[in-house]
Amino acid sequence: MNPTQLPRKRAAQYWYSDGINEIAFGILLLLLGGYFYLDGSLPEGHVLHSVLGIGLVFLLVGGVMLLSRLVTFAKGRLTYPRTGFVGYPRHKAPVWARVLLATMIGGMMAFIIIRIVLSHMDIERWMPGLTGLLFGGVLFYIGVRVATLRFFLFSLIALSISSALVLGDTTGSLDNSIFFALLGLAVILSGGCTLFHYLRTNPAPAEVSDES
Amino acid sequence: MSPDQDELVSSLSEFDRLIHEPARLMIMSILAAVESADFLYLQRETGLSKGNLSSHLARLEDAGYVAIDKTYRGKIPLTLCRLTSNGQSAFTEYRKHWKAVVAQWK
Repeated sequence: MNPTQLPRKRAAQYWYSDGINEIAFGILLLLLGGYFYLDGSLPEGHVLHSVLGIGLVFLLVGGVMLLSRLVTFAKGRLTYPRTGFVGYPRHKAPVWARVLLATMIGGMMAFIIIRIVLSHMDIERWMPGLTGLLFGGVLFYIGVRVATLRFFLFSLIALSISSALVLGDTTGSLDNSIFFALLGLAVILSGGCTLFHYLRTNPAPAEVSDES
Repeated sequence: MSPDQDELVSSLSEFDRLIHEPARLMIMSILAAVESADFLYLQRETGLSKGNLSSHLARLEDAGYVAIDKTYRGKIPLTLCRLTSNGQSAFTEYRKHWKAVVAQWK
């Protein structure tokens, strides 16, 4: 590796070093689990399915925005005073464009889900598998990018849960809620352990200047 | 000495000495990888003492490679450092030169 690339990798790893991101991501997964539980509990053809479809967009966009604020707040209180602040290169696209893009993606997902529910296709059985592949792939990519073992484990957990749900032919409509709830709990548990370890190894500094 | 060796030796002398010093090279490499970093992060990553880091940052600031903003996080003073556009170009040039020298060695 080019030695000048090492700081780039270390800066990317630093973002995940305190576990705060994982806890926030886990909360989002649990919220999605709750959403799919509600969606799966309703009888087929229920009018609330359409309302929930739109609600998913708000849950994704609102959840991401709220949780990113919480992450910033928690890092400001816990991480930056202990091990320092790093500002990462900003996205070139403005906030409204990113929110619009996220809304469009969320809308497409909601549309697909509604289509599947309305058309009574057997795709429902394969949805946890597709979701597992998607999340497993994304988590694997993060693991490669920041060279952190626990993201490979998350990827493995995501694929294992989804495989078990598809092969086990379990509760059908609640498969997605089980997938998100289990993955969310695993990610929160890992984030909690990482945060605990981080706080133990980096005690709070005395109230002094950052340079003397 | 062969002409190739002459060229190699002369190319070594063309390194930007301000960046080439190990501590400053560490600082520049870190700042090139991020948008900004505070003094505490730089100190932890480089392993330099506060005084040493301050003096290297001051030299880089004097050369126009690094911009230093002193602000506050609550009641605690915060020193934010970032590469200037001059610093970015100088570091890019340094990396190009370094790669060329390594290629010559091979």
